Parts: sequence; structure tokens; C-alpha cells
Amino acid sequence: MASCMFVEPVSVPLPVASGFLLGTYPLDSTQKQLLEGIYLVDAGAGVFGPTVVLKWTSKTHLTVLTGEKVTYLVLGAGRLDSVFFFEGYWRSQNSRRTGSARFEIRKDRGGRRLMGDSLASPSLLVEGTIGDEGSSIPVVFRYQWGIRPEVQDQRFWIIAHRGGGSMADLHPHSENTVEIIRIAERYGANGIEIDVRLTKDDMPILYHDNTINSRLVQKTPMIGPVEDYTFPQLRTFVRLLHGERIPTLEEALTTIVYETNLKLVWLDSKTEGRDLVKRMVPLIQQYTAEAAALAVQGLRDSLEILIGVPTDAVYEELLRYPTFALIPSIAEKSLDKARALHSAVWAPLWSGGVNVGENAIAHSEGRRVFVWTLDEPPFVREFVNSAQYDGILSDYPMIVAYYHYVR
Amino acid sequence: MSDNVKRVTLWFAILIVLPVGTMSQESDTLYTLTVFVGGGYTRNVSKFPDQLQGLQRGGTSGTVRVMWKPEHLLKVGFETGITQVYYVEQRNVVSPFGPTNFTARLYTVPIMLTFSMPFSGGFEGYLGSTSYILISQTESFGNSVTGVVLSIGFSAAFSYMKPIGNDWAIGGELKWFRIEKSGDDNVMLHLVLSYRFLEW
Repeated sequence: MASCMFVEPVSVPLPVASGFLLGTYPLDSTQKQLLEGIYLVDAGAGVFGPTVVLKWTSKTHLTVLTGEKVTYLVLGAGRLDSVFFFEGYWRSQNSRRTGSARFEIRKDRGGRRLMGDSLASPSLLVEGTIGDEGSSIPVVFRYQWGIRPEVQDQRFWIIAHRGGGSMADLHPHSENTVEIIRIAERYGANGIEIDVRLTKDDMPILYHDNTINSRLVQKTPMIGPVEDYTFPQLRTFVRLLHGERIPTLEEALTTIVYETNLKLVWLDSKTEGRDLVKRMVPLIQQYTAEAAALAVQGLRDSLEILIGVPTDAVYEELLRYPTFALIPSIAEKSLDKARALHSAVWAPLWSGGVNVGENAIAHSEGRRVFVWTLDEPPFVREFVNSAQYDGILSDYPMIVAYYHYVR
Repeated sequence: MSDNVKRVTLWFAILIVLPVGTMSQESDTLYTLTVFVGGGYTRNVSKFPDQLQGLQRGGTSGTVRVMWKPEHLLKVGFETGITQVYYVEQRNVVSPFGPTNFTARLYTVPIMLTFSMPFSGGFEGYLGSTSYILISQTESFGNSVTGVVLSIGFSAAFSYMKPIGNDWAIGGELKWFRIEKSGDDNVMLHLVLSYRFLEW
């Protein structure tokens, strides 16, 4: 009954909408670094659980990550003298609960410490309230310790499924859109997976399913395989669930390179037998180079764009490509196929469990190991804590980020 | 419980409970096969996105149904036909790819197992579990596409038939199709002719 499952999106309050932060000064890098860490929840544990992680997920967004509660806060920040102010919104992904949020760190509760006063009290309390259906809930986070340097420095890929994963559910943005890509980092992701398929006229677009259907698009008389329609038809007459147009791969990569600091893109190849690889490779090369140029100027981090190889047909197609060994790829099938493709990443399915033996072999060959698609908090914790994986693909990147940073 | 399940449960309750109070069990053991041929107007009553312009909800519809009447009140039968779900026509659509006309016709061929119970005075209620073959024909930017998908769904109908001979009857039928995959609800008003072509 997919057609009746469309639910109005949660109306998420816009961060920094009230002017609470107007007139404040931005935090410097030292203050930001001091704020990051693991906090005990003195008040508000019913919403956030006993501990949370505060992590800067972009230059302007501080995200509060939780584990099993699957709840998060996205905050803007500013300071006046020794008082620090935060405003944004919170949201539970297990329900429709959401609301605005305001916090502050008072001068004598950590503000002076963040300002570099070595004589100040070492305690750091983030105190405030979150709105919840007309009422407000008091929330207090108490700083416990920083994120361990080896965890902070480790290259660990937290990859949001379908451009943003389950965040698209009840969220005012559809999956596989430039709109969801723009905000994926706020939820702890440093990489994204997006689904690429070809239209009838060979345009690579972002779309997951093989048919136009009510799971992904608004009501339309255009039904059947996506590949039967040309790009002008799809672009002009089909709207995604939340009203967006279907993006091209090129638009998505432009957004990633110029509007985010995402470090990895996993292009899952959905069209078989029509040279999708040949269409993607020039775009991969172009946008990897553009990101590298920006990285040299210090405007963003470097970016890896890899072709996902989910099926034997895509494997064969990539293998036929003249310079396949030079094309960065993620082999989702066997480790043997990862070797044959010279894949940078081997990505087994999570249901195979933590595979210590093969993971060690892959690592010894210089390959990274990602696992997909891991959504349940206990499994996320198990896979993260196994220290066997270099990255996790998830619909809930904030859970992966939480368990990674609390290690 | 979903709205659809509630709706279907209510229909079953109406079909089963009402006749008990209005009719007694028939005493003979005559079996009959009757064919119903109907046609008329259909209107799509589902919700559409605001930006879908050129929508024509009305159209035509035709059905053929064969019902087996056993020795008890509940009849069973098979129904098929063709129904326009809706039609969209947009002229001179301006787009970054140039102007185009857009036409799209969505219609369905139901394949339905249907049950019916008589009420008093020639009224009868129907309820069906249906597979819908959805067919769309669209054209724009010089590309014609015929798309076909299969959907589950439900149907219900309420009819009045007046005998016009030993085996013939004529009447009207109010019908509802629910097509899950496309999220469409169509309501139909049919003129129906029936003929009892076999009895034993």
C-alpha cells in the first residue's frame, strides 16, 4: 500500500530563525575544538539518552549526536563576551517529534574556559531548553571528555544512504536530491551514497528504483521503467515526493564539490548493459579534479568519487572499460572481484557479520573495507567497535557517528 | 487498522448483516450464471498535486461481469473491463528543453473476483478483490511511452436491477475502484444490462 504511505513531512524549525544569535560573534577554531566531546545528559535524558556527542559537522553547524534514541540537534552558535549561545532544532527520527532548541554556556559554567582562561573552572555545562508541542523541556549537557585523538584523526567514513538515507523520511527533502545532499553533513555524515541510472537518452540521473512509482514521486500518469523516458520528460513532468525535480549526476556532483565538504561519494550503478560506467567516468574525473583544486586552495577537503559495483553485470561492464584499473571503485561482491577490478574499497553486506579474516586480507592488500547498509543501533555499535571497518553505509549516519566518536 | 481495511470490513459487514434482516433464505436449489454488461461515466476522486495542470478527471468506463448464483445468498463471479483512470493534456508547455505538448492517458483493466449479496427490492451489493493492470500512454518531447504495471486494489458496487423479461434485467450501478499502486480512486455510474444465460 505504498501509495497511501505518503506522510506529510515533519515541519522542522529553521535553525537560527529567531535572531537569537544576531549580534553574536562566531566561535574561533580553538573554541570549537574545546566544545567537541562526549557529554553526560544531566537533564533531558528521556529525549537524548544518557550521553551525547557534540561535534562540528560544518563550519557553522554543531550537531548533537545520540545513539539508540536516534535523536539529534543541529545548532548554530555565537558568543558575546564569555557567554556562548546556540540555537537550532532537534528531531527524533523514530517519531514526528521535533522543535526548536536554545542553549547557552554561561560565563561561570564553562564560558571563561572556552575563552582560554586557564584559572576558570574545568566544568562545561551546555544548558537550555527544547520545544516540544507547546511545552519546553529543560536540557543540560555536562562535558565529560574529548573525542580521543586517535578517533578524531582516523579516516573513518560515515556514509549516508541515498544521499541522506532515512533522513528523507518525514523530512522535507526527498532521497537522492541535491537538497538532501546539502544537509547530509549536519547528521554526522562525511560521505554519501547516491543511486545513478540512465534515462532513455543516456543522461545519468539520481533515482533509486527501476520504475517510476509512488514511493519516490508525486502522483503522475507516467509509470513503468525509468529508462523508457527521456531526461526532458522526467525533468519536466515528474516531481519527487517533496516537489523536487530529478537531479542529474552532474548537478549532484556540482553541489557536493561546491556546497559541501563531503569527502567521499559512492555512486551506486543502477542501470545495466547500457554503458553507464562510460557516462560516469568523465564526470568522476572532472569533479575529482575540481575538488582537488579547491583543496589546494584550502577551500574544501579532498574528495573521492567511487563507482559502486553491486552486480555481476556492472562488474563485467567496468572490467571491459579500457582503463578500469585506474577507475576508483567499490566492489560490493566478492573480495576476488575487488582484486580483479583493483578496487580501492571492498564492501560486503552487513548480514555476513564481522568478517575478521577476509577484512584482514583486504586490508593487507591496501583495500579499505566498508559495510552496508547498517541501521540498527546495536549492530552499528558492534561493527564500529570491532574496528574492522573503514566505513559504514547507513540510513542513520548520526548513529554511526555517535558510536564512532564515543569509541 | 488502516483506512482501507476499515473500509473493506465495513463493506463486508453491510453486505452480510443487512440481507439477513431483509430476506429469507431461498428454498429452491436453482443454480444460474448471469452476465452483466455495463458502461457509463467514471470520475477520478483522488487527490492530485496542485501543480498538475490539464487534468481531466472524467471519462468513460465499461465492465463485463459473470456471476454464479448458488443455492445460498452469497454469489461469486468474475469481472473485467476497461476504465479510464484519468487524462492529462497540457499544451505549449514551456521548459528548458523547449516547448512541448504533454498528453497522458492512464487506464486500467481490472481482473476481479467479486462477491455479491442481494438486498430487497432489486438492490444488490458487490465487493471485489482486484488486480488492476494499469496502462499509461504518454507523449511529450517527441517520445511516446506505453507503461504497464500491475497493482492490487479493491472494488465495491451497489446496483439496482429491474427485470424486463424472464432472463433479462436492466438497471444502474454505482461503483468504486481503489488502485493501490497509483493511489487512484475512481467512482463510476453505469447503465447495466443483465442476461441469465444458464441455469440448472
